[in-house]
Amino acid sequence: MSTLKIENLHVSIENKEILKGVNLVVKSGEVHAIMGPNGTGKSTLASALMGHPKYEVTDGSAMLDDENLLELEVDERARAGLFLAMQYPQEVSGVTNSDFMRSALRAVRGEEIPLIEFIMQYEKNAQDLKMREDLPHRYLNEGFSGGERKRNEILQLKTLKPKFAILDEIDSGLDIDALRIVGENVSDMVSPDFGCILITHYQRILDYIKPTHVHIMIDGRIVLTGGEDLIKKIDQNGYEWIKDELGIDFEDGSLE
Amino acid sequence: MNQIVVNQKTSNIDGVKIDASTITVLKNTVLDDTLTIKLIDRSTENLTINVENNAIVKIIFEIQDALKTEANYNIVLNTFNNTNVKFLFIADVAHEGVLNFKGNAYNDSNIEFIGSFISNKLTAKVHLDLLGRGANLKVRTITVSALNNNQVLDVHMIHHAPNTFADMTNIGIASGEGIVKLNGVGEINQGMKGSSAFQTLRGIITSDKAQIDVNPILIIDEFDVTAGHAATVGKIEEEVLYYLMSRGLPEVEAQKLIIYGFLRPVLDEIDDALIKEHVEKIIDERI
Repeated sequence: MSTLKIENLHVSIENKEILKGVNLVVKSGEVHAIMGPNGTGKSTLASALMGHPKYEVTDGSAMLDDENLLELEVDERARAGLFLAMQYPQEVSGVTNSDFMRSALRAVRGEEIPLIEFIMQYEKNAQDLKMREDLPHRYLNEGFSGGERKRNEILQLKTLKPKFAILDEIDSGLDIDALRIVGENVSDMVSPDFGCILITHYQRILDYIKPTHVHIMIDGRIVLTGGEDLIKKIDQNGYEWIKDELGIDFEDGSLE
Repeated sequence: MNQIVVNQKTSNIDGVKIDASTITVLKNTVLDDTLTIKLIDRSTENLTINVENNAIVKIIFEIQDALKTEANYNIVLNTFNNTNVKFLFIADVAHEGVLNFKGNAYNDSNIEFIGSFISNKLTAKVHLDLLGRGANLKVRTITVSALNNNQVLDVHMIHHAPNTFADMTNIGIASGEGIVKLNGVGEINQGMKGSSAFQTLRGIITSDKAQIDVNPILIIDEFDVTAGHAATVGKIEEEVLYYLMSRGLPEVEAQKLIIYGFLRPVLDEIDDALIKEHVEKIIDERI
């Protein structure tokens, strides 16, 4: 049982403040959906927690159990148990998926993994995600379609088994079959040892991964928190009603 | 395994004749085992290797030089008609030196030259002449400069006969304050119809103080040919490094993985498991 605790997090990129005090507590076994219009800081939250070099944390804290994530390097955060499924995964030529994952697993576990054991598990995970059979031998994301890349992120997630995963718009660009496969695989992972933050614009992925908490982020803050009722409301009415209800003004970046 | 350590006692190898400064693979010889030739601390600086007609051979040629004075190597490889030669060349000069490697490829000879340049300070000229019709040269090199290593590699291939084919891929890696300079020249003389010359030069630096300079040059004096060149130099991309590290790999390990990926086009062409392992081990020690 672990806890990810974010308090008053302020984050800037190139001296422009994007996150203006985010508070969030996620426990193992929970699924938190963070929704909101484009450009309100959802992905910034994900990248800042993982430690992307372009994002500067100016205030606040982020603790994974008793480890202060903000003091750790990117790789140390991963080894502490954090995983980020990226919105736009990079391609790396010449590095095969399986070589990469085996090295990463060794780093995360801190011990050598017998090759056979690794391959069996990795291939089983790839089958669960209905990925192409030659995948382990292909170069990391090279020549992958958008959907294949997203699935590959989930394959890495299943292989590394972190304590917490942040899925940054994992559903964007997925067709309905891929969405179901990805959703079911993530949903199956949720357990007393695993919790997850789902960043999304769309409610559809939430049909497969049932959130325990739903948050709405506007202008760098979480402005509303609730349950599934919130999803329904957004589905029917978009985000405009929040302006009236909370008396705040914002611009939907997706409309720009 | 067949091994010749020049100027040391060597066992006899069928089909191979050894003099003071010449090693000859005799006519029609097919060597199943790899022939390893080592020059250790300048046992000689001048060596000629002849591969006579119809011979087929894989050679590992290794220069290990730990002496403190300046080295000056002159190596000649003659591949005569209808030969097939895989040549792995490793230059490890600990101090400083100059290396001239001259290749002469006669009719229908095939040379696959794979070079690893891992010296401290070296100027290496690999000059290959395609002298006979149907000669086919494939060159793949890796140059690694770490610390304050400084290496210059010139690969020059000249087509003196029609229907000759030359293709080079040279990759440089510089870390620390290392310097790599890669010059590739493909030259097709007038009248050498039906020939082709291709070159790819790529460099990657892993620190701000490292330097790589690549110069691809094609000199073509004949219309009926195919030719092309490409050159790229760059740093390891920050986003790629971040991606790999976000899965738990420490920075150094992530860099290594990226560099291996970069070298993959050369490494994958080494079809001999022993040679491949050897090269990977050498590179691993450097990066």
